[in-house]
Amino acid sequence: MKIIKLQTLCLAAAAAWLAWSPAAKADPADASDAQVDMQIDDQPGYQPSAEEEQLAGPFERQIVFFRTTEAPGTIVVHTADRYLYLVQPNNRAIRYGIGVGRDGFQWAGIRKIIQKQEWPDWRPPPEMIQRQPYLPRFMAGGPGNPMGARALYIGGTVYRIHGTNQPQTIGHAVSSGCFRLVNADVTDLYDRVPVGTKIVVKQAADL
Amino acid sequence: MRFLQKGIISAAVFSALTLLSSFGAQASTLDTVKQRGSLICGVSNGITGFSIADEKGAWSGFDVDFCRAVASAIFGDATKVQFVPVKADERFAALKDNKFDLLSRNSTWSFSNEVEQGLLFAGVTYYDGQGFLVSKKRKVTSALELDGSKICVKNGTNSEANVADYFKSNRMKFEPIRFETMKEIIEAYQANKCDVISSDVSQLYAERLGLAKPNENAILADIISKEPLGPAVRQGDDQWLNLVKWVNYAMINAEELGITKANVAQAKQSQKPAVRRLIGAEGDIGKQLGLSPDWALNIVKNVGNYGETLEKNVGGKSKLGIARGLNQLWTMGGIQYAPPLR
Amino acid sequence: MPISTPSTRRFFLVAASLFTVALAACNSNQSIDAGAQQGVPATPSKIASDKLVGRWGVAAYHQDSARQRTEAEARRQCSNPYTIKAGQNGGVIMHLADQSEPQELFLKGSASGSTYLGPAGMAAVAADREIVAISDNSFTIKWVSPDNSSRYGTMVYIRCS
Repeated sequence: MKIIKLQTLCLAAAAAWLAWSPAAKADPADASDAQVDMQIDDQPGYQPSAEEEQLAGPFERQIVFFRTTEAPGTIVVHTADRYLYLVQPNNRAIRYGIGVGRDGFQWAGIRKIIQKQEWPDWRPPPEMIQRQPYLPRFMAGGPGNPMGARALYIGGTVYRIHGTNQPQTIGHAVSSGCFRLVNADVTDLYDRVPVGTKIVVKQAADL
Repeated sequence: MRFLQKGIISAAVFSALTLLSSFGAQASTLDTVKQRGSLICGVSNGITGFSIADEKGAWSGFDVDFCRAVASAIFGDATKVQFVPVKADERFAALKDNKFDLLSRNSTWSFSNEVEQGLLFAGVTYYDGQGFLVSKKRKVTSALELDGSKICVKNGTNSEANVADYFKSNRMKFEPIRFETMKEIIEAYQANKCDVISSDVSQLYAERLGLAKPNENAILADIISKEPLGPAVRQGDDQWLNLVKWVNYAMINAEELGITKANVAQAKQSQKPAVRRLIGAEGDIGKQLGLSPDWALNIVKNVGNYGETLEKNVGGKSKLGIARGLNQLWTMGGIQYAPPLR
Repeated sequence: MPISTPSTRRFFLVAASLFTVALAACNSNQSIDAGAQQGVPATPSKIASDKLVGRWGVAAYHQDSARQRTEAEARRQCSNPYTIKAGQNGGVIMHLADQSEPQELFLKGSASGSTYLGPAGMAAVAADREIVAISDNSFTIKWVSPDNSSRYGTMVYIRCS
C-alpha cells in the first residue's frame, strides 16, 4: 500500500504521510514547511510521466538575461533561487530549475566537471540505508533510478549535478542529492558541457 | 518647519489633506505623516503584480509593498498606509498637489519625469525595459533573429521608435503594426496579424497570462530600452527624500546580507557588523533618519527584503514569473546595487 | 504463530486512516496496488528457510542488461551487508518493504511451483517477494507488488564469506 505518484499539490499531505511512516523518520520541522524544505524520500524505480517531466513557469528551461564576468560555457548555480545557469554570450544564460539537497547547501566555490555519466548508478547514502535497511546498496542505472538520466561529477567534492525520477522536487530543497534537474534538462545540459567545464556555486549570504 | 515651535506644529497640523496642502512644500512630510498616523501613497489601480486592489479593496503588488515598507519604517506597522489610486496622466500633478506623501506607481525615472515635472526620484526599485514576446514555435532565442518580423506596437508611445532604432542598428527590417490599445494588440497577435509584440517586459509578462496558451509564448531575454521605475517625492524635503531612498536601499542591503522575513528574528545574534547596523543592534542610523533604531528590521519583518518582495509579487513565486534579470543583485548577475548602510 | 498482534492491528488501522487522508488530499494521479494481489493458498515451500540465513551483499537492477554488473556490485557490498537471522517459528527475520523494523517472514510454496517470502498466510500477496532464483551462495527476488517492484527493482543477494 503506497502512493507512487506525489504531485506538487499534495506534497504537504504526502510529506506528512512520509513523516509518519516508520520507514521515513522525517524531521518534523521540515514536514511543517513542506513548500520550502520538504522531507521526501527518493523513490527508486519510479518512472515519471512525460507530463510530470514538463516543467512549467519559472522552472521551465529558458534563456534569460544574465550578466556575469564568467566566460560563456561556465555553469553558475544559485542554490537559494534554485536555478542553474549555463552562461551564453551577450549577457544571457540558459536557466534550468533545480532541486537542491542538503548536501548542496554545504558548500560554495569554484570547481570543474571531471566526469560525465549516462544513466548513472545509484548508491543510497548510508543514512538512508540505516533508515531503510532492506534497500539495495547499489542500484544499476536506468529509467527508475533516482539519479536520473545523466550525471556530471564535480571535481574535488562528492557532489554532482544529476537527473531525477521525481520532477516534483524541482524548486525545492530535498532530503538528499546535490543538484537535481529533470531528465530532459540534465540531458540537455550534459550535451552542452564538456568535461573540464568550470562550475561556480553561489549560496545566499547567511547571518 | 524645524525652526518653528513644536507646539505650533501640533496646533497647526491636522490630518486633513486640505490643510496639508495649504502648508505646501515647507511642511516636513515625515512630521505630517507621523502626526496623521498613516502614510498616504499614490498608486496605480490595475497593474498585475505591481499594484492592484481585489474586490474587497485589499491591495497587493510590488509598488504597494514598497509603500508598506515605508510605513513599517516609520510606524513599525505595515498596515498604517492609505492607498490612493491615481491615473498615469494625473500622477505627477497629484503628487505636487499634496494628494499623497509618496508616488509609488511604476513611473519611469527620466529627465522629463524628474526635472521638467519638478520632482525627485528616490531610486530604482525595478529596472524595466522594452522587450519582445514571440511564439515558442518560432524557436527564436534572440531578438537578433527577428529580421523581417511583423511587430505589434502601441501607437503614440516610444515603443515603435525604440524598435526602429534597435532594428536599424542591427541592420534588420521589420513591419510595424500599430494599435491604440493593448487589447487590440493581443487580438491581432492571436489572429496571427503580427508575429511579435513589443512593449515593456513587465507588461508583456502580464499580457501573456491573458493569452489562450501562455506557456507557448516566450519573452526574449533582450532589453532594448531603459525604463527604470521608482518612487517619486516632491522637491524641497531632503529628509523625506532620504528616508524613502534608504527604505529601498535597506531592502536591497537586507537581501545582500541574507536577512530574510524568516530569519530576521535571529539577526540580533549575528556577529556581522553590517547585519547589526541594519537591524539597529549597533549604531544610530534610524535616529539620523528620524526613525526608531529597528526601522529596517521592521521593514524586513513586515514586508520582506528586496528579493523576497520582488519574487512574491512579480517573480518566480508569482503568476507572472518574471525572470530577475537586471533586478538581480549586482553580486548575482544583475545591477541592483545599494550604497552601504554605514 | 503470531500473525496479527493488537499492536500490529492498530498499526494498520492508523496506516489505513492516514492513507485515506493522503488520498483525499491528492484526488488525482495516485495509483495504489492495495488489494490487487489477493494471493493464492500457500503450500509447503520447497526451499528451506536456513538457505536464506546469513550475511548478504545486496544490489538491484531494473533492466536485464544490467544483471551481470549488479551481481558483481552485490558481491562488493559485503562491507555493508544485510543480515538475515533464523526466526523462532521456522521463518527468517527480515524487513518488509518500507518497514523500519524487521519481522519473521516465511517461505511459502504455491500450486504453480513458485516460492514466495512474506508474512504467514496466503502466498503471492502484495507484501511478498517471489524467490525467482536460488543457489547456495545467492538468491534473487522480485517484489510481488508492482509498486515495490518498480521502486526497488529486482534484488540480488550474494552471500558474504
